[in-house]
Amino acid sequence: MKNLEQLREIADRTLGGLNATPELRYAIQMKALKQQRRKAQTLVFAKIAAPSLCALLLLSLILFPSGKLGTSNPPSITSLPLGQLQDKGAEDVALIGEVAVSNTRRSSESGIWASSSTGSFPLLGVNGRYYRMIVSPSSVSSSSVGQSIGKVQEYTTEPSLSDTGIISSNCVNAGDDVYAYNGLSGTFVCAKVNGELRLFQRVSFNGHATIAHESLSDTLQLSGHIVSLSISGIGSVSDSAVAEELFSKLVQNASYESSGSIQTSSVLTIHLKEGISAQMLVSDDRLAACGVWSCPEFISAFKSAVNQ
Amino acid sequence: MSESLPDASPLSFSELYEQFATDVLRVCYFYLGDRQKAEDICQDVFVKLLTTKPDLKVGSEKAWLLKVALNRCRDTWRGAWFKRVILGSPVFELIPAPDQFGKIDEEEHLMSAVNQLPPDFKEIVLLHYYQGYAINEISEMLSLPEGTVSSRLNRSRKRLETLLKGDDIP
Repeated sequence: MKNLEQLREIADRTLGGLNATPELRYAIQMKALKQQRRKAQTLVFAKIAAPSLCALLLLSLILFPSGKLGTSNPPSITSLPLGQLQDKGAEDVALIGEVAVSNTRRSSESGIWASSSTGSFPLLGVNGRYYRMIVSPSSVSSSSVGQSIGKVQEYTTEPSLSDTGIISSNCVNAGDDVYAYNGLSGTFVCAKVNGELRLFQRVSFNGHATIAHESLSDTLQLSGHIVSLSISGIGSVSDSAVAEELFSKLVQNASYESSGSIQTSSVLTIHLKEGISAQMLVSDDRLAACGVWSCPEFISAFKSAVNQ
Repeated sequence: MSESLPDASPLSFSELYEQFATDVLRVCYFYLGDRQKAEDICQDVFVKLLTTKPDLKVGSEKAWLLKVALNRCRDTWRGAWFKRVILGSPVFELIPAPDQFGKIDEEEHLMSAVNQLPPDFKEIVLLHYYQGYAINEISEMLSLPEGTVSSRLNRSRKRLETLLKGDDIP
C-alpha cells in the first residue's frame, strides 16, 4: 500500500484548506475564561454561602425541633425510570414531556417536535438554515403565512440535507414553496406537508447552527410576542411582561457554545401570542435549539420569578 | 505555589496551539467528516488544556491533545445526537488549499477510503499513517494492547485494499 505510506502528505494537501484560525483560538480562550470564572463563583459559594446556609438550617432545627419549618408538605421527587431517560437521545428529549425532578411545582410541558413513522424527524434545509417541523398547529392559518422564501429544490433523505446551498427537505415535496411566518420569520417557516401548511422551528442540524454572526436573538426572533414561559421541572411565568423581560435577558446575555445539542430531559417552552410555541432544551445554565447557548443570568432570573 | 516537573513541557498555550491545533482539527475532521463538529471538538480540547492544566511532559504534548480529541470524536460518533441527526454517513469532502484545486482526483480515493473505515480502525490508521505514531505509542495513547493495535492496523490495510479496488467490504 504505497499510497497509505503517503497519507500524511496526501492529507496535508487535500485538507490544506482546513486550518486552526486565530478566531478559533480566541473562542477557546474566551470559553476557558468563562469556565474558570464559573468555577471560581462555585468555590466562593461553597466556601461562604453554603456554610452560612448550614448554620441557618442548624439554628432552625434547634428552634423548631418538631421539624415544622413553615411548609406542610415536604418536596416530592418524581422521576422517569432511569432506563427510559437513558434511552432518549437529546433531540427526542422534548418528546419526553413531563420532566424528571420537581418540588412543589410540577410542569406538564409536552414536546412540540413532530416525528415521523420512519424515525427521521421532518426537516427543511433552507440554504444552511435548518428547521424541524412542530406538532401544533396541524395547519397554519393563511393569515399567518408570509412571503415565499423559495421552492424546495430537492426532496431527499437526510444525508443530502447537509448540502447547505439549496432548499431541501425530507417531508416537503420538491417544487413546493417555503414561506416565512408573519412577524416571526427568524424562528419559523411554513411549508406544505401532506396537503397541510405546517410550521417548522429553526434548529441545529448536522453541525450547522448559526450562520456568520447570528446571535440567539436572530434565531429566536420572538420579542414582543411572548405570553408566558415555562421550564419543565422548575415552573412557569405567566405574567407576559415578566416573561418578555426574562426573554430579553436570555437573548441579550446568551453566549454561543457550540453547534450541537445537549443531553437533558428539561425544556423551555416559549408560548406566543399567535397561539404557537417555540422550545429549547435546558440543562443547568445551558439552552439549545439552534446551537447550544450558555445563559446563567436567564436561568437564575427565571427561578427567582417562579419563586415570587 | 505549584512547582513544575523537571521534564514538564515548556510550551505555552499559544505555542501549543500554533504547533498542534491544525493537526488536531484535521484529525477530528478526518474522523467525523463534519467540519463544524471538528472545530467544536478542537475547541473543547484546547479549553480542557487551559482549564485543567495537565502535567504534560516534553514531547508528549501532541499525543495528549490527540488522545483527548479522539476520545471526544468517539463520544460524538457514538452519541445519540450525532447518530440520529446524521441519519446516515456524512459525505466526506476534501478541503484542499486553493493552490491544490484540480490536483486531488487520485488522492481523493484514498482519503475517502480511510474515512469509510470503522471508527476503531480509522483512529489507528490516522495515528499511524497520518500522525506518524508507532504501534507502542498508539497502544499507550488508546490504552490498548500492542497486539490489538497491530492487528487492527493489518485489518485496516486489508479493508483499504478492498475499498480501493472498488469492491464491497465483506
